[in-house]
Amino acid sequence: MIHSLSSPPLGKAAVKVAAALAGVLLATAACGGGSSGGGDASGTAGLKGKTVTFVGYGKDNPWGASFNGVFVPKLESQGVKVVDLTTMDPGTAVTNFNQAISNKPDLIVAALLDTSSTVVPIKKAKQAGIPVLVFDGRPDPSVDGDVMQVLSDSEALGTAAAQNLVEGLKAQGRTSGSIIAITGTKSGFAAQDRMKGFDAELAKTPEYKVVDIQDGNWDPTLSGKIATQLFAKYGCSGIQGAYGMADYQALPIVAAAKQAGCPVGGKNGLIVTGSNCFKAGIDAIKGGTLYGTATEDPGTIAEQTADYVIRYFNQQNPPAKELVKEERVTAKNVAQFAEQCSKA
Amino acid sequence: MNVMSARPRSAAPIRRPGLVVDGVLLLAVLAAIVLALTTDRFLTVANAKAILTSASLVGIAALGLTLITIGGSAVSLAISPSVAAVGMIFLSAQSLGLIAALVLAVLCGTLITGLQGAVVGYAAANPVVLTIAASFAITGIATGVSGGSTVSPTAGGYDRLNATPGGVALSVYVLIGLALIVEWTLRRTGFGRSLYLIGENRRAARAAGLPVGRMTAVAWLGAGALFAVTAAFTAAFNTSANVNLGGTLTFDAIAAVLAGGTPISGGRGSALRTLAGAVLIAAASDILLLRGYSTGVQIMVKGVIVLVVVVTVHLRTRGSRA
Amino acid sequence: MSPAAEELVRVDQLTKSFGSTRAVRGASFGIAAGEIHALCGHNGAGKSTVVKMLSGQETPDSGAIRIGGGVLDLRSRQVAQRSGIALVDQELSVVPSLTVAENLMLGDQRARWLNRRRASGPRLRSLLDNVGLGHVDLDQPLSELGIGERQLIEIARALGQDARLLILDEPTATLSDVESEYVYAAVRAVAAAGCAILFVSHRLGEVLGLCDRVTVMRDGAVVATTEVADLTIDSLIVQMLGEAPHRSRKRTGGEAGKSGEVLSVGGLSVPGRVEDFSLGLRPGRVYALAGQLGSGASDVLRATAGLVPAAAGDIRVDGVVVRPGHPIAAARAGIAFVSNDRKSEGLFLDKPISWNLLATRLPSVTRWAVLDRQRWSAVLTDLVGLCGLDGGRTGDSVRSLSGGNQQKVFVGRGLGRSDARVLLLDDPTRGVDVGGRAAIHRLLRDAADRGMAVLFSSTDLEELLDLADVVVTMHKGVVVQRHDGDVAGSVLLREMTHGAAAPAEERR
Repeated sequence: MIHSLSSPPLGKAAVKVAAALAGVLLATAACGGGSSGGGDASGTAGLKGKTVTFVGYGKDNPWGASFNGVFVPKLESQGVKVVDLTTMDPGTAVTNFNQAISNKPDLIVAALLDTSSTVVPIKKAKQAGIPVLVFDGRPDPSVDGDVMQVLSDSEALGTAAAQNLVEGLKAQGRTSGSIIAITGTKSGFAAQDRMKGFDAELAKTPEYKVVDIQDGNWDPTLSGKIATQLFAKYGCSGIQGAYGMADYQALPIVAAAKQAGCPVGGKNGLIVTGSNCFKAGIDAIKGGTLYGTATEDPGTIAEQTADYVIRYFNQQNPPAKELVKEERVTAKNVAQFAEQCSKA
Repeated sequence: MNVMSARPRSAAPIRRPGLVVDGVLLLAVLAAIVLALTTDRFLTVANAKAILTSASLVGIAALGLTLITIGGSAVSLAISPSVAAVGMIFLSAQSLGLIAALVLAVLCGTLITGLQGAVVGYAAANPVVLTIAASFAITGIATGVSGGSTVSPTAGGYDRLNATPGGVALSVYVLIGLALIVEWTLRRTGFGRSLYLIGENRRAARAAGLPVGRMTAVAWLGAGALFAVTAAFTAAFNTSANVNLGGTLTFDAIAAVLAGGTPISGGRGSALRTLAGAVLIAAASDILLLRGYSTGVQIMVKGVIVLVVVVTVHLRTRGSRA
Repeated sequence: MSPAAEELVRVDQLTKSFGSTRAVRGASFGIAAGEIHALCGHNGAGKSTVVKMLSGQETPDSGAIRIGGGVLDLRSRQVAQRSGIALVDQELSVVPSLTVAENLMLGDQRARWLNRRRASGPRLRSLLDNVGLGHVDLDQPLSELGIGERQLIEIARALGQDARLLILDEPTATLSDVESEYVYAAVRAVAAAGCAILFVSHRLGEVLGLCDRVTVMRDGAVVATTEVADLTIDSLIVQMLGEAPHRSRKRTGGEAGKSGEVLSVGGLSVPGRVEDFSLGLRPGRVYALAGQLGSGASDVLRATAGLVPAAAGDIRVDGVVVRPGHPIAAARAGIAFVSNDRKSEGLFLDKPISWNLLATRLPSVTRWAVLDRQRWSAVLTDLVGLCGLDGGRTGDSVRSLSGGNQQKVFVGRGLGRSDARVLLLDDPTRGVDVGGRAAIHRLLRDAADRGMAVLFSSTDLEELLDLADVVVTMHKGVVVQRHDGDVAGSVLLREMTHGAAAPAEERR
């Protein structure tokens, strides 16, 4: 049954609640906007007065929040004015991109939530003569030459994950092994490129085979459910290695394996790897349940992207495409990456 | 002059839909059984455990939603954000110890959802509109407080929720226990009975002097507690929590309630039906996974199941009323 | 006006039965073009069935309806509309959020969706002028108009369907005097344009003031069709009642003054509905509010039960003030209310009889909030016996019961509360057969004998005369007269239909 909002004696109460909610939302918005306006005089003269419109990932995404927390202050400390148009909604991102073009900034820095829907805005920016820098994931091939890029090396991340698994399985002395993979959203380049690197690396060791690949949609809960069912399908003896594309997908695999009664890690247990690190993953590597992961931490790429922008404004002509160097993380070198990976 | 009487005309066709529906239903059940039996590895103990484990988290939240739906306030669309927020609270309170963290989580969950229930009950706000607004508010506050980052557990006590006594996940025991408690509450308490009456006919309940506002608020409070239990298990399972922890839980819970045959209009339904609905959907996903269908197909089949059950329930009630 | 010769509409020997009840028995009358023809009769006389047959909502068992000489086969309301018969219902069917023009075009089957407004502008304008709404703009939202003006829009819309016969079913029941005057003027103008009008009304004053001839029905048959010049209020009432039921009432109720008032209502007002209503109820007695639709009788009961948020006044139970507009407060104070709308505001139709009977008694059948089977079945057995229901069927849904038994459950629920001091019933025997009626009357009398005060509203003279110890008549929101002793049915009917004598209203 649906009740009317407008029944007379109750209207007042409803208005009060609405007002309270609106207040909360406003307060939240105010918090979000608090990070801008911190530019100081220490910046280089060449960067003073430059404006960057930032169409990045929204703050509601942990990776995005961490990236923005490094990227924006670094540019502002150099005197660059950063206009924040970040969002996690692909539709809003396109609107914001168009808005950015009409602002006529010196540079647009963008993350592409949906590669195909940003093709047109990128072309528009080119016509308007506004340079665009894309970070994290690569753009649609049709506009590949129209933008500058600082990209996560997705193939290297996939390669690192495969190396982790092979290293772990070999260390257990296994001569064969079955592997399952739960990926990020399959339609995205990030997941596709990681699988490319992962498959290529595993092809070198044909004794270890991938028996099942499922689309986990970058969703921890869904990944956990899929893992639970896969352990039921193959049994503990049917799976020796598992790849959860992000740490927050690898950890539910660990939990699912434990609940299915399968040993994890150690001499005979399941080898699990992620391929972009978070604090929870680092803790799990230290605890021995996660064999390894790879960097792709937001802090590193944020530093490099900001650096790229500064080099660009200083006319140092950075290369059109830069890949961030990704590192493989295992128990051996985890201490080295603990700090860097604990920001998200 | 037309001398025909209008009365008998309506009698005959009423029964038909009932029979047709029964037939279709029987065929569907048979098809599902055949499909299940012919699916490799479906009939194994390990697989049965897997189905129950997958059903458990959604199931507990769906039990909470069952209270809301039976009480006539349709659905809450703020389940995912509530679970995310409570999950974050649960993990960051781990340093207080598991029990204290659980209590805190349940308190917060009860408060968040109970507040919405009070507005729905006392101010007769539209629950759909209100919970959409609430979900934005909750996500906004959670993002603001956490700075958008992922919360990691501050101590290891949470891991006890991932325990598997007797080889079955703890969450499965909790689901079954809670389903029995909710079912008993609905059937055997004055609160449960009032809830059914209010859900069936809110105006009549008001005219009869039933405490419509209070009972509605209590139903939402209970729902909030159950959402919090889901949140604790989900956060413990994922070992980390951020604002996206809830994922598609809102719609999964609605699907489980509807697939159990509880009508969205309120006044009817039961906790055990919801339990069956959650297991049904988990089993269907499982069959499809075992047969190698993609996630997309699994989601679509979930939709088809819900649609079929909703239409069936609607046709059957119409038939029985004639 | 001379009948027969220039008759436009002829109703010939119409008969209609529902089950074993013969609702209309060979009714015949005619209406001339330009005539305003009143159809009168007490509740249950068959008026509304005749109206339904004329407007295509019911098919007659036998008999014929002719317009302009041709026999019509009115299978549906649409067919009736196309045949030139327009009905303005008791309930307004205009849409406040639309404009005047849009309302006028609602349901007009000739109009096309595209570009209707511009093409039909002049036609709509003349419709408004016809009903005296010359000052209203076509593009004005209807919500800006008063309730009387909305009624006129409704009439204008009916005219817009090129009606030859316009049926108005109690068009002024919920209107004030001033608003009613607008309707009278519009009706006269429409008649002057050559339309035949059938005017159904309970207000005898307006019937005599407005209409040309009056057809009176009683027990499904036409008593007479009379020129209005030959009628007075009293002769009209005689026609409606036949041998007036006038019997000395069994005064079974407790003698006055035995104890104080249980319920006292003082200065109760519901804006637009009831003005300054006051009444005191003593335990052990049955009180009746006699009033037609729009008299405010129903509103008094609803307001006392806390169901009218806008109500103001002093309501006390045993001297303790009950806050108006709060049903829970009223229930706690011991006021039990039985609505006239048992489907949407009374029973839980899909729930078992037992649940319905005990819906208001949950606190007394639970222990620590848990249902106590023993108390539950003990209370249930009591109630089932009290209501005279079948004890073996308490698990069946209420929907499976007949209307009379449903009403018994509803009334029984109000009775069963041991803490109930006052029982309010809004038209408790509406849609109930004769057997059920007697049973409900017994229930009410028993309740009074057990020390409750009972107040019900009704329009049924026999019920008022048989059951009530005190009858208070109401008309247009105010009390007309309180009758503590014997009273003639004709007096009650006169007061219900005409209010306190106001000779000015009787004649044009």
